[in-house]
Amino acid sequence: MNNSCCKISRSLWIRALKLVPIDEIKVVIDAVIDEYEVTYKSIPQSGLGVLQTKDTAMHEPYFLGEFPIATSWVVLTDKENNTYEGAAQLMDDDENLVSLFAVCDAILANNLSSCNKLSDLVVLGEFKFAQEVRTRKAMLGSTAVDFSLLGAAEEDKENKRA
Amino acid sequence: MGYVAIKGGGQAISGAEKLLEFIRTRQGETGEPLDIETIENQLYFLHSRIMSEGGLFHPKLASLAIKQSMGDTLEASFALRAYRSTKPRLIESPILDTSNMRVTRRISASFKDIPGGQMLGASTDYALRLMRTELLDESPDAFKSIAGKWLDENRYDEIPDTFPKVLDALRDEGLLPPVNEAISEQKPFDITREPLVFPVPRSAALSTMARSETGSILALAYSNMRGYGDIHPTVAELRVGYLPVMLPHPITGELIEAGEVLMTECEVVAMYEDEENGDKPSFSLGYGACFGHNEVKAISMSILDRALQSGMKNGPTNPSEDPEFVLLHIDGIDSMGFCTHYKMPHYVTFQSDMDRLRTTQEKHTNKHEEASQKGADNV
Repeated sequence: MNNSCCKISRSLWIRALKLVPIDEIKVVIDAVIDEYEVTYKSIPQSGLGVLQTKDTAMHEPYFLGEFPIATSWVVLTDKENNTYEGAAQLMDDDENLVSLFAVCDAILANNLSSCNKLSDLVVLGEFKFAQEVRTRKAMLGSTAVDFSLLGAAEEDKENKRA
Repeated sequence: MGYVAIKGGGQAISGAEKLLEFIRTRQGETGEPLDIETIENQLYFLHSRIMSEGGLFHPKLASLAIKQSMGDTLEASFALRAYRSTKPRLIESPILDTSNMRVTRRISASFKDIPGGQMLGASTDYALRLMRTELLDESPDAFKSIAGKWLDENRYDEIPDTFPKVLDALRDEGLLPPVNEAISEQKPFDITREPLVFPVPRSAALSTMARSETGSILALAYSNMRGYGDIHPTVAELRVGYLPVMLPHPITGELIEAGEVLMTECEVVAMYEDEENGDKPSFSLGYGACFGHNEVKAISMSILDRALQSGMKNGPTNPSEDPEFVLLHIDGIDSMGFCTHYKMPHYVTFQSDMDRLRTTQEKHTNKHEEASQKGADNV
């Protein structure tokens, strides 16, 4: 059950947080991290992922190439011995960064203290992503091809002359 | 002369490294070091090429590789490929569907009215190849204002997030071969784990071509275009965009967006063939894709994919249809390595060559002297 304070889907939290200045995330985490003991469920790692896709002609799967990936899975334990898990996978080499995001994931997913502040940062990140989407749409919209028949184009010119 | 072990050259090698650094920085006080983001943005196509030829989508390290290699594409790709060889493989993505690509350019040479429309995006296709001399002395203030002004002037919120594939429309009309579901379930060949031992499956060919050197793959595809082949392709769709990389969340298993990769994808429709097994005739297809924005590479790959399918099915009738010929000669790092190794000392092998030549010359001289002597004796 999703009891997060964040209304944005968990699948988009990492994408959003990646677009927020890291110092702003650190300020939020630094303010609450002393309330918990942080342990790793699995050792943070950085390495490579291989991107599997399928060709759109025959629908045959193949590997396009590799990408950097860092992964972390943390457990936060509060003073009452309650445990909360969070994890992250990020296209990056930085194990510290992905661990920070895993802590964010734990706070957001379990509605822990500062969830609202982190949620605001997720919203900010999604706003920045939306700006990038707008830029990409402008690339398309400003170069959309408006075909017309040669005869029709000539008529337009003649109408303008008239 | 026997084998002589030699040593030395360490000082010269160290000096050569320092000299390269001198060459890189010789602008002195009038120069500025290239920053990584400048390389990624202002050397956009070069940057794309390094990521695809290095086989690793790592924008930051691709920029660094370009910087340290001073723009040598082969050396930069080599550095990126060497880096990847030091890293562990942590994950294999699920099969990502490129129809989810966040498109920035899509065109078709097959129809003008493709579903969703044609959008040129950033392209040099229609540019006059004239020198833009105003860039020789570009004002930083003017440079900084261009992007902001463009963004202010261009708002197109009604554009959809994704676009249908042109091939899907052709397939719906029954003009393309049906999708073989058995193929779509196959495990792909991993060229980073297994050597190419021929025959190789098509997935090995696609992966090899996706990280091939642009000039090499273009040259072989061009041989087919010019007449050493008969593909006669039509570009059904060429698209450039960002593919979201969806990976399972370690706890929930739900797919989360871990990042995105810029990629180019091309499908070509080629001449139809009468089916020997009595199936309905349909167009044949070729597919190309690579990291980054590199249209020449994606188109070349799609032509060679179609040519190789023909060679795999019926046996090659020209070089571009021969999987072994194509796939073993398009990797930039392989071919550059073999080429540059000829600069390394070959003192022993060349000494051996000289010894053999001298012996042969001596035999040749002796033979001629004997013949001359016999001729003289016969007089």
